Amino acid sequence: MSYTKQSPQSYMDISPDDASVILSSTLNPTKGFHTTSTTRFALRGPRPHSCTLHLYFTLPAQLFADPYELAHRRASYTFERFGGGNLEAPVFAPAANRPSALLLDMIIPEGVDKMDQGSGNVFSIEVPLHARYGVPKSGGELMDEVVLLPPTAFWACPQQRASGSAENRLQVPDALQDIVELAPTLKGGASMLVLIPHTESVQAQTLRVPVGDAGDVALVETGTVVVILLAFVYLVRTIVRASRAQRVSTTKKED
Amino acid sequence: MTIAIGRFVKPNVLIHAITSIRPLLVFSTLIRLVLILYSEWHDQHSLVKYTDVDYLVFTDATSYTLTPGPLNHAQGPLGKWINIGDPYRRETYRYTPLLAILLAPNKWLHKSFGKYLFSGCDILAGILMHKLLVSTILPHARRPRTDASHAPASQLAYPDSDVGSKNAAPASISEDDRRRRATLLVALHLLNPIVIGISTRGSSESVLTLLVLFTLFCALRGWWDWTAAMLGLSTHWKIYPVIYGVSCVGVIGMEHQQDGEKSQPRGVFPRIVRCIDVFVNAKTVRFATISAGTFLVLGTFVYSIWGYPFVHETYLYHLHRLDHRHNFSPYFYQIYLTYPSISTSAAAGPSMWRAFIRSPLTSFLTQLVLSLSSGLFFIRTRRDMIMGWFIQTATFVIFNKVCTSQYFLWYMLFLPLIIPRLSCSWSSSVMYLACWMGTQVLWLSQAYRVEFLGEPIFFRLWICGIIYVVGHSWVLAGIVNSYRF
Repeated sequence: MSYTKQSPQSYMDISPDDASVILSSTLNPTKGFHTTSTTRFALRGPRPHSCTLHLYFTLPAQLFADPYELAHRRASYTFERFGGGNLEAPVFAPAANRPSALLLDMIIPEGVDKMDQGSGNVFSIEVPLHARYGVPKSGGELMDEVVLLPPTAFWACPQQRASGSAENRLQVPDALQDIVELAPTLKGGASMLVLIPHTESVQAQTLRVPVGDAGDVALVETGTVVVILLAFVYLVRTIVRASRAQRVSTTKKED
Repeated sequence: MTIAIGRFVKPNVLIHAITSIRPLLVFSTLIRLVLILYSEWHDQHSLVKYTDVDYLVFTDATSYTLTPGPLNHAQGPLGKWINIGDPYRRETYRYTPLLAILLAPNKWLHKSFGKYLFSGCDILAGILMHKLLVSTILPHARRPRTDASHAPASQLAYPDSDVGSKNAAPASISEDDRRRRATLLVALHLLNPIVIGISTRGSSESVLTLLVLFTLFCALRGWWDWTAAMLGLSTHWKIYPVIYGVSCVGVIGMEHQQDGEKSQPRGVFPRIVRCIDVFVNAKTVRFATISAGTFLVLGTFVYSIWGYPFVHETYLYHLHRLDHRHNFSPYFYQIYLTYPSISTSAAAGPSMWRAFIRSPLTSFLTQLVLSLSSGLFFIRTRRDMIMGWFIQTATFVIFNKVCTSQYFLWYMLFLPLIIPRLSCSWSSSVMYLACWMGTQVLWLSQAYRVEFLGEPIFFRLWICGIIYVVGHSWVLAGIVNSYRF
């Protein structure tokens, strides 16, 4: 199935009353190795039935989503993960130094069916994210600023034949072409993708992650080995003395 | 309130009820049941889960094992003939497939079956400890003879000891007395919050501790064939119990010597021959053969079905693992700063000193020498095996390149069994306990700041790791010095 670029005019024709927006996308907390991305939607206009609602994240190399953790949120969404590599590796390991992507197929909560033009129906989606260890720095502020771009939301709908076109082409806005390339399943199930815009307040979020100090290498290496060796000698001495005391005790008993 | 209770329950009945093993087992079981039920409610209502991440790993691995498919099939030579999945498709599953199979009822019956199983292993371990204490340890333990100002902490084992009297002679302990004391000691394990938490959160350590305890039980009884088989099984489960083999061989060799010549050989060569004879004789060879054979048979069986992923994830991974993320061991920071693929360290090229420091042998040798030599030199009789195994395990954990809280359980299980042989004042005992816990609390407080508050204090966290090694070494030395042969 091929796909064609879709002009804004065309997809507005399909659902002219749809004024759904992403109200906000935030990270909380904004420091540390564990955070949660919360995206708030306002769904406005007649709900396009048989359409599915999706949320797409591009994750920088230093952030990852744990698929086993996300699997426990199946009441809110199912997901596909692209890339991500070894969950346990630091960002500078070959297995983990590339961006990844996360595509959610969201389950709209019950009660968010009737969408009126007024206040809209608002609901949130939470995605737990984790940070990898970053490259140690030499001096300066020992923090990495990991930038998470706002997610992209869209409807995936069966095509309406109003235009009279006999072609069966997936209609994709420019902003969603990369997603379609990445997720072939979208091509198979849907015929039209409708981008959901976000308000101006939706900005990229930054997670500040501490990193090690490369200047500590010499002290840490030497200190660790010295302490380990001293503890080793101390315990060997203690055990040898105890062993000698045991031999004396055994000899006395035999006598 | 005490008077009110006393009106309804006679004191000696109450004491008997408290120190009898059955009420302890029932109470311990109830605590665990309640916590497991609570964990199910808690996990549904809180984002911070009670259940350990490892439990989810086991459960997922079990699911993979029981639901084979085109992309999920056992990879061993016989795997294609058996319709069974591959537990190693689950990332971070680094255990024997037998664990995944053991937890099959997680899928068939209830997702918390594993927690009940692990808690059941706790209770069985308590029963085994009680048997060991009553039949083997306490009958040979002697009441301490010290003055009241340094009342020994082992009063836990001798609550009625007349330590105030310098003339108190060592006396045999009555059967009832033994059972009461054994119950009090077992309570240290069964009512230990760490032990309870580990099992009810779904960590599988209690299965291994039960296997190790049963191995010890057989060894103390002199059932060496069973000991060898259990040691092979324990080592298959997790590699570290192999260190106990050294002490077993030592004890078997010593007993073989005692059965043979009584006189000391004269001359260097005869002494060398006698020394070799301690370790290489018919009995030790039999022991090693059964133990290694059990390990190999189990390994071959599992390999034939699940193939190389089993060998890699269960054993080989631990040889090459680089635990760069923070844990109790101070090695973590060194590993993080010198992780392969960091361009700075690769470009510089390590000097000989650095190569020596970074060599896995440097860390591995200290750990190996201590954990094996303490089994060889410390253990002369069967009775000393308990203390020997405690020292071997504690040194193994302290000097390991990675250490999490679950590792402490490996040597804590021996504590109720060695307390009757410790002569340690109350003040020293309190200091050791405070140091043991305090170093962990200190580390945890800093780790929390790094992980959840995002504070760049890795160096401080490393210092806490150093304090942990020093503190735990000091505590271990204190316990060794207070041991009475």
